[in-house]
Amino acid sequence: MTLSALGIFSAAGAGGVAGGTYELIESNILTGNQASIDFSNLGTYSSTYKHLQLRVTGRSTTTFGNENDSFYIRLNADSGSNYSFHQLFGNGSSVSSAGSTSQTYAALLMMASNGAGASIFGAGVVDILDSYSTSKNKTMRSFTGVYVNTQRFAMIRSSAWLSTASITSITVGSIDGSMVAGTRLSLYGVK
Amino acid sequence: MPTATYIPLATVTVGTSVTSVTFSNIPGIASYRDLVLVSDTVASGNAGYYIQFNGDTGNNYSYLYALGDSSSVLSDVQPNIDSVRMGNTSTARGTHRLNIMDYSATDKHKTILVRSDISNATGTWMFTNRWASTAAVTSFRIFILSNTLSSGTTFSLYGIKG
Repeated sequence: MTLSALGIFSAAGAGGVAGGTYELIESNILTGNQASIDFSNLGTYSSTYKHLQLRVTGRSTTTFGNENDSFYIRLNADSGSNYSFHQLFGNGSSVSSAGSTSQTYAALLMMASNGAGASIFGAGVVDILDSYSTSKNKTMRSFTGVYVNTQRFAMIRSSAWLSTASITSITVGSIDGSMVAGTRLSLYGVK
Repeated sequence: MPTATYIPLATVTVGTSVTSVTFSNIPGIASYRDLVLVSDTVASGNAGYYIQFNGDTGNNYSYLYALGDSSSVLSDVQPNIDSVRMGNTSTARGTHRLNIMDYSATDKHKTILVRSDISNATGTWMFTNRWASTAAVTSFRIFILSNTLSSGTTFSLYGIKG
């Protein structure tokens, strides 16, 4: 027996109830290859939002990783060795973990690369918690994955930015190449 | 100017036991960028829990998972099969959260990130799924391979603008 929600979206009220605690700040769909992108002037929202969320579908030009590439995140344009991370991931045959300190970025997004088949993109959702606190180092966490022919992952990662500064900008880019056209990066605020 | 973004589209509660639930007439990209589906399941027994898009029953799906239970971890992969997996169902309550990313994009295969938890039974899972199609998602069917979804199982679908 099947229960069908057929037609429910054309019913009255299909637009739904406005989700007033989760709002789109900015969305970018790349029209050409681009090394990185900046979400700037985020201090504007310091009294509006508690947390930020980044949602990405992406692919890069690199052939370095054959079929995948990581996208990095930097906060407030800080390229110092002020980031650390841990990760737990499965690759289809085993589960493992890793971590490191003194990184110059937070590599929180596992994406497809130029070696992947056509139209294959990776995806990830990153939560940037207590983004505007001036008393806490910042914690980011992600759920990300890419399914390519030989290199495929499901992964959760967390990263600390060892700074109590309120976030004013987020930079996202490909570690080994450029993000390709069609890559989508959307930033949301959570009240 | 930020805009309200996380929009509830539908909530379905199973009244009598079913083997599948179908959502159709999903609005297109002009409305939303991602879909989030949250299901809260109780079933008549353990069974694999799957999803198909747009009525596609071909071998156009692949999934990978990592699983942790009370004693071990496991990762497995299933390429080129007829559906993608969202975990298991059980007589114990389970929760499953799907992120169907860029579901209306016509230049991308669809990536579906899933977190699935049945804390009183099979453990906690994470999935990376891919539907090898550039078609916009207009419908999807959720089903279990055996047993039935019990009364009280709920599905909540959200659209995220972007």
